[in-house]
Amino acid sequence: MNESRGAILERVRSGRVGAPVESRPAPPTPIPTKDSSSLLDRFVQEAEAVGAIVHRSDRRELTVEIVLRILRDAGVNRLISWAPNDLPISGLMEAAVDNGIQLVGPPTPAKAETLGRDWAAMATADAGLTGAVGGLADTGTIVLRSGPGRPRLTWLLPPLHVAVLPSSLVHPTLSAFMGECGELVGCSSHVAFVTGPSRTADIEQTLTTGVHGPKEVHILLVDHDCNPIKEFEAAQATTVSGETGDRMSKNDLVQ
Amino acid sequence: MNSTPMSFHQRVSHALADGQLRVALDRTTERFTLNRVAGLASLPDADAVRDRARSIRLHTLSRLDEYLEQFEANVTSVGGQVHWASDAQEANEIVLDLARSRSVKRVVKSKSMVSEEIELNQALISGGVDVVESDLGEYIIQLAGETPSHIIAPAVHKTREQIGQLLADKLGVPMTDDPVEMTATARSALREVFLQSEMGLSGVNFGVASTGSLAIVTNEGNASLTVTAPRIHVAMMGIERVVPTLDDLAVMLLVLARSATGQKLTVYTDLLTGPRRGDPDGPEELHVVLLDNGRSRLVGTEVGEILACIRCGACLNACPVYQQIGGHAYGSVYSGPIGAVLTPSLDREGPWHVLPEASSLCGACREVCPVRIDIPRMLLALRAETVRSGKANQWVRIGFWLYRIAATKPWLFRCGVSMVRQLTKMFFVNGWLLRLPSPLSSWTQSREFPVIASRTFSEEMRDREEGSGDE
Repeated sequence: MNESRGAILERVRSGRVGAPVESRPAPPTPIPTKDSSSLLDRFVQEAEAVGAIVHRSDRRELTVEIVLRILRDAGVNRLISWAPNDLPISGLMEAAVDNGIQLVGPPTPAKAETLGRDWAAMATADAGLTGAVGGLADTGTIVLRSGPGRPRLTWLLPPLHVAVLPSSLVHPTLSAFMGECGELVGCSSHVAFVTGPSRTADIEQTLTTGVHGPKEVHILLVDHDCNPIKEFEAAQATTVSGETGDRMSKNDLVQ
Repeated sequence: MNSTPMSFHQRVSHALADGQLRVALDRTTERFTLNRVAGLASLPDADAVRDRARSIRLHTLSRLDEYLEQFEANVTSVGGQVHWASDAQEANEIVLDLARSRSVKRVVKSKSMVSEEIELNQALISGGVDVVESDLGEYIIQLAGETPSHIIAPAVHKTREQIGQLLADKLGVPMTDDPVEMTATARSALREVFLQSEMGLSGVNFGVASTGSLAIVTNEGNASLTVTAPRIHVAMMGIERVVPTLDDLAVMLLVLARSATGQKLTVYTDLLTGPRRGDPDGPEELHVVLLDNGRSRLVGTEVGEILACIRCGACLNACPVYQQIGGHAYGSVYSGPIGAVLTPSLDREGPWHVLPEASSLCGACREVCPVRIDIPRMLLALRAETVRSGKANQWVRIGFWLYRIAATKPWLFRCGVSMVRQLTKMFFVNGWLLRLPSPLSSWTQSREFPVIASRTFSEEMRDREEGSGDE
């Protein structure tokens, strides 16, 4: 294996001798947005264009009510939820439980250890409840990231996915998100950019949803106060102290 | 890469005679082409973005060794393991060893062209490991025992009726031609596979050097499940698929989905940075297999730019040859214009020198390429190489040899023209030349020529000049 490594790198290196090194382009400028309301309108428009269902709310109570209504209308009995303090608003998971919905899957890291890799329980869930760490206006995308209280199967296994997205986290483009929140990528082993429900067109280009992931994606775009994103703050703190920043940049060739 | 027993021309004849294939290709390539135009139109300045994407790719390739080392260091620093494979055999052995040493019985796989290139499925199966494809199109062709015919739409050559029959035969479900029902059947069959496989195998769209992240895109979410439920994730990556930073990745993603399907972004764009860290799910082990298999040799050569390819498939849809013959006729894993360059370049010993001929050099591929690869120039370079190495068709060589003699001596050229005019007269039918005897017959098989004019252009010119001199 080490032999191959050396040989491959040597061939690549010898091939590039004398070859001009192309200058790198400037980072792309994000699409300018006039004001935040047009940014959110754009997000809603694009998310709906790819088949997501967007609900807007300016009060915490209303957000809880809408989520409960979505779950009730879909006849949800079993729910996978992220841990309460990993959701952008408090009391959401508890409200679902109070309404007779059964929680399945590993809600806490401690329990996850004992569950091992037996996903059978999670596979029976009718819905998954998550919180987005970002939104991309020009594509209608939500950004989700894994973590101890945030199983990824939550947004992948059930036929219905409900995600809460604080409107302050909507960015104009993917490039803008990477520019401002790129550290988040290093902080989670899985960051997913999800744009609408799972779909395929592999059979005669006929669009079909829900092939592996959810058939329905509901996004709650909320304007009220939300819990802060702890990883993001931690990332910024460590960047300042140099720890994460060092790891991310020590091998960075590009000045 | 396996060659199929039929010759390229035989495969083309087969493809052209397949009515269902022609219908499927017409539908698909046209829709992809229109979607791509609409997708790029949604960018404020698509041309500038493509220029930027091209420059990122060329920059990366010009310092590929440094970016690969940086990528390796960062994958390792987040807890992943990098394996280097010089060729297909070494890559297959690495994966098989991983599977065996960890008692893996079943592998779930999301679509990966690299794994097709090295025939990983066959290697695993003959090593006693079960492999199941999870992309719907790939699942269908795996059930059918076939190979993909399009980079992003592997089952493009099959009609819904054929697929319905296949599912009925293989899974024992009732026959249907409804894509929604068929999709639901595949969902429940594959759900079990995801949850019970010990290893998930994926490709890699881009590896980010500055963070050690892997970017993997799908619309179905099958890659997301493949890299989440199983205990081990093995990612197969060509050495050229690295980008320097997350900012660069964002630019590449602006053009990838738009060029492939016309979407602004694929439904699932997953960025994976190392194995799980105290998470309840996700892989406990992450292995990245970096595959060379002929790539490093191309750096800095006439065809080196082909390594900038991001596998969107736009050149296939745009190619008038691909539109007629489809992917299987090429006989190689990579088909269409990109395949006609990549296949003979990666596998110099294989029977691929004929593939660069499968082009009219119209330039449609270069026109649609998101990173503006000059495919026609490379096709010409490969054709020249074929002639130099003496592999060219002997009749073509003799023809051009004769032409060179004639074209460099005006009197001989004039004689030749009048001789050809006399000779071909006996083959005219109603003013058309429909059939010539061998070896010219293969030329007239698909072409009809109008009558050669009774007077040549230079004869006309001479007469006119003499005429005007009289006045």
